[in-house]
Amino acid sequence: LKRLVPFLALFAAGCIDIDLPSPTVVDTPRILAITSEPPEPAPGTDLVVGAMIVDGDGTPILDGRQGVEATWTVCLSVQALLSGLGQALPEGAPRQDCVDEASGLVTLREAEDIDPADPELGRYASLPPNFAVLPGAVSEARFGGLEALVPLLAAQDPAAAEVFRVIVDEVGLPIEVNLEVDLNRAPDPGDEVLPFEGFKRVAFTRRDPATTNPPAPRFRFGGRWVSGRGVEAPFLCQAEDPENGPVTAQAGARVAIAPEEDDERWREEYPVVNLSGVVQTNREQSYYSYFVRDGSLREGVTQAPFRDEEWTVPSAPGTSSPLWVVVRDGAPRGERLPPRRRGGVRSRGALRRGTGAPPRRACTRRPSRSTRGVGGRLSP
Amino acid sequence: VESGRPAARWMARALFALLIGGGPAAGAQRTADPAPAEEAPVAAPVVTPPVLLEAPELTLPEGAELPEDAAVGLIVTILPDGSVGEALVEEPLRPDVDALVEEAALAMRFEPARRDGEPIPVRIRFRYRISVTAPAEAEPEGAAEGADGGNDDEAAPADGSAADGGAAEDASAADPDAEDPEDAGSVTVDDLDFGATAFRARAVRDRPEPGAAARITLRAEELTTVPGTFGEPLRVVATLPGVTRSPFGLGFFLVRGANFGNTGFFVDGFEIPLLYHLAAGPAVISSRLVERLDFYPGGYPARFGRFSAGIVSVETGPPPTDRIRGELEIDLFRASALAVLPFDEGRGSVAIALRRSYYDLILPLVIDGLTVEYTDYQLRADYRINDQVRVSLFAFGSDDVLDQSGAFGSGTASANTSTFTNYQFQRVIGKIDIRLPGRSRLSIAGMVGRERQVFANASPGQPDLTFDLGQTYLGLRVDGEIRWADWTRTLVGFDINTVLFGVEASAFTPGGLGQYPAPLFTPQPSPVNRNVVRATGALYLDQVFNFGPVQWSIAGRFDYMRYGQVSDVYPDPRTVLRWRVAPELVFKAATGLFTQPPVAFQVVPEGGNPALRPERSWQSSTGFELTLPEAVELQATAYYSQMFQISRQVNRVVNTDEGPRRQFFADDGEGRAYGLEILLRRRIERGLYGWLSYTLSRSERRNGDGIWEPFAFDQTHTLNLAASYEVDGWRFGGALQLVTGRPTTTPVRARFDGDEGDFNPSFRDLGERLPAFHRLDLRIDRDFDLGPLRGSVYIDVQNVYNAPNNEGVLYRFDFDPDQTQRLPGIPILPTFGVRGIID
Repeated sequence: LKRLVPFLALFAAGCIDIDLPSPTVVDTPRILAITSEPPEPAPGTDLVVGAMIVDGDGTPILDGRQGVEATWTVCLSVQALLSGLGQALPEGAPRQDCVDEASGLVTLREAEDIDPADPELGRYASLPPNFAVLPGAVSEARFGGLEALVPLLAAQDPAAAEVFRVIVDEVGLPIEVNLEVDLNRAPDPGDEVLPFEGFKRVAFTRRDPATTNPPAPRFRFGGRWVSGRGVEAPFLCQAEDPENGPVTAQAGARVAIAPEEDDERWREEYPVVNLSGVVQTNREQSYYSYFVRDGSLREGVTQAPFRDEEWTVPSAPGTSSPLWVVVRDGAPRGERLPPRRRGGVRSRGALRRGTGAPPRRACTRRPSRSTRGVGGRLSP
Repeated sequence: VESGRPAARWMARALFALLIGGGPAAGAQRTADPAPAEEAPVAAPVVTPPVLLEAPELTLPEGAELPEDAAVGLIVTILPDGSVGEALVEEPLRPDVDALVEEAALAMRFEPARRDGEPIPVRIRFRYRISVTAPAEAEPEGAAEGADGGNDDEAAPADGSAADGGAAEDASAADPDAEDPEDAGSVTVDDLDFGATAFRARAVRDRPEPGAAARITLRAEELTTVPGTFGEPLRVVATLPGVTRSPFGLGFFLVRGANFGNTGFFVDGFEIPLLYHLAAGPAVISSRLVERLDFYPGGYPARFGRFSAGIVSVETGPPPTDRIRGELEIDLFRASALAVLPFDEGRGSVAIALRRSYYDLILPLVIDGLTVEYTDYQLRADYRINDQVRVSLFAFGSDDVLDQSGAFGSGTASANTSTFTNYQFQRVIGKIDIRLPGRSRLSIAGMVGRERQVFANASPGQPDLTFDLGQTYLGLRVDGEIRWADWTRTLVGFDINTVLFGVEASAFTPGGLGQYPAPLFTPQPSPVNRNVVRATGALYLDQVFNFGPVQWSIAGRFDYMRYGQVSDVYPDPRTVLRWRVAPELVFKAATGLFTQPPVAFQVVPEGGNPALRPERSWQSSTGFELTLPEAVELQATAYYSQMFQISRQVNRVVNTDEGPRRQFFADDGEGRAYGLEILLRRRIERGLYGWLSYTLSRSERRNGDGIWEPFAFDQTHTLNLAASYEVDGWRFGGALQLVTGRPTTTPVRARFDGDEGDFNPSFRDLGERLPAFHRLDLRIDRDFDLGPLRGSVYIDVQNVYNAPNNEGVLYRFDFDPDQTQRLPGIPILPTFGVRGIID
């Protein structure tokens, strides 16, 4: 029973009225999504990352505008890579804590840092704000070092070395790409100016083919279709019938938001190392995260097969209000099983209500990872 | 205490004065002998006076110093069926004793008076004399132990007969004071002075237990009338020194800086998984079947084992078995019933108890989607074969359910979420107690048990998660005591405990390597079907020496443990020294090793670590016990506990014979705890009892960087004050608790996780703690007697002034330290109930 203590505490917490702001309502400067393309680069492949950052009033925060500074870094130290696998640094390997370049810290390059004439990176000179690139040459060099790490690990723990090899070759070694945003202004007068941070995992692997990102979202807002597909500007959705004017909603109404149910075709399989050290193939699940500045949302996050969301529109008419949708794929999806007698499914819960305004078009896309796996058992 | 020392003799007598020979177990034996009645002068030849057949066991307050000629004068009406219709106190002694004697008298059974052979009702004057037998004559060994540390806390009848009987044939030690010719003289139908009968039966006292560094024993009212416990004996432990509080009053004990799982719960010598029902529920065993509760905050005796901190040991026994009896208790949250059926003239009895909560009827009125249910049952059979042999069979079980349905929103994506927890266990314990010549004893007990723990989660769009653990227990223990001489004896025994652990799970195992976290909790379900056997067997030997005022116990417990890849013997040497430097003052010191095997699921190859070694602790303590006037005693103990081989969670890949495995437990954790415990206690006397307990403690764990940091539940100061006073059938009680808040950390940084869509905080230990916890509980009981129905009505209020205690801190989604909300503790929680007894 003692193991149930955390659950009991959870139950207790569930019995109180939590009066804290909802994460689905944007009222402070925030990072809402981070993307990487491709989600699983092979060493030597260029990696492009980007972020959707919004201000407390819902306007985009763009690197280089109004004093905003966004910095992308990645720690490619051996120490960090091994610790991600629960492995100690083998003897003989350099200790690298990623405080600077010498210790494994790599700063990604933004458009302003790239010479358009550069034959390798020139095409990234037109990257939009909030985007950066990790040149393939850098990752290639680092992963070459990782392969050299295998014998070192093997001397320490052959099984761990084998797992490490399989991770790099088949599963993908998750590496965190970090973003720091310095607004160079206080959120409120008198507040301390603090940067805020985010990160995204990117799996480096030689597996071919690797998985891909989901397409930009397409969803029905009320009775109209809104989509980010074919839109040039990053993180922007538009009505598919612009001739009917801007997308609107009745003040105070509840509007259904329903993503296009075609995610079955882009949900892929990918391998992980399970509890027994065996490579297991999982199938991705799709997730939809919703954010608003005004009004309130019913769910916040949905997943297949229940993708729908409901937005309660603010009661004040005439307001232009942003709505953000983030689509992710990733952790596995399973089948919904029938309810049990005990602990069975019951339908309860209170409807959360709020106020809101008509939406402005805005969405994001491709903030995700996909993998595809190979099965098999590791050899010790 | 040597009998030649006046002070010691006084102490011994004082101790025996505690043992007011309550229930005429042995005394009744003699008075039941028809001979005296036959020899008594008969006023009218046609009238035969009543003869006492049996009387219930009576336990009088500890610490009560009664005069040697203490007696209560009664007028008793005996009905034609031999039962007592009425008992009125004519010559009172003192209120608390009068009430108990009156209750005992009502439960006595007589051979009825007869006129011309026909049973008739009579009213007699009955002098209930409380025998204070000279200890040196009655129980010389016990007397010495009383002062120096005997092993027995029950003063058996002087004749050595069974302590709980009352049967007529046990008249071997007739009390010369049992008959008073003067009082026994006149016999009339309407006014029969039956005589003065001395009752010398079982009584109670606390004596130090050899091999135990510290033990606190609770009985009777101390167990059932402490405010805030809702009448539950086992909850009283939470108010004792050495125990720091657990969040939300969950009822798990954090003892001397150890974790929840390091303190064991035992019933009749066998481990059980929990003592309380969930949701601040009552104990899993009816308080009427709890004979005694021993709490060892550390340094427990060698007959116990497999826990690295303290022990809570519950000894059960049959309820009063003088007659058929039924009890019903109903309050706001639950109802319970108890029935007792004696047979073979009281030599045996069968008791059955059942309890069921009805939170599931009440909670929907205030909380949507939360269901709490609990049920427990007990079936107990006892039989006294003869004076030397007693057998018992005790079957009991418990079933708890917590079910939370509904969740974060009302849409289809989250409305049908359900989380379900079920915990149930059953035990059957058979026991034979044998009294051997020379005050030696032997006890043989066997146990069969079964446990099942189910955790299940159902959420739309993801697989059902189930975690179904089943455990089957087999246990055997043999405990013996051999008294070689007055100055030495041996406690020896062995116990075997085997657990067959089975898990069937579609479980929320940790994500695979290479797995990213997702915006929702979407664990990867892994089917796990595995059986694990954990076999443990232990031999213990405790040699006790009494050198005048010094008692020295040298013990060794040798636990053989076999599970997973572990097959080893773990020797636990222990020693306890007690020195009575004055009749009122005892110094004590103890040190020893304690070993606890890992719980079964931690050694499952998939996700566990089959090579996990048992946790161990080296506990040392020293202190004193001081007896003060007015039944007050003071105890102080300083302790230090070094904990090593603590199991902790890791995430590693290791090489095994079966290939590479992920490993989630390692046994390299280390901890330490030290502190001071003080208990100032007044035992029940003249209706008043109470205690003040204070614990100063510091508990630390070594973190991954080798730095000692406070244990998550470290609480520096814990103060408990509990008191109760009875007057004129009313009992008033209060309990106050003041506790330092547990450590908390401050978020200093939160990074947005682009995969999870959430924030990952970094906390820093700035030495901060939650605010201090404080709570006042009150309780009022009122006894009633409506002829065949008697009992009490009570109201018990937890947190009377609704203290807004903090059990934790909730943060905004981005862990902004300026936007927090406290996690409140249990608010004011009143209950009222009625407990009725029909017999």
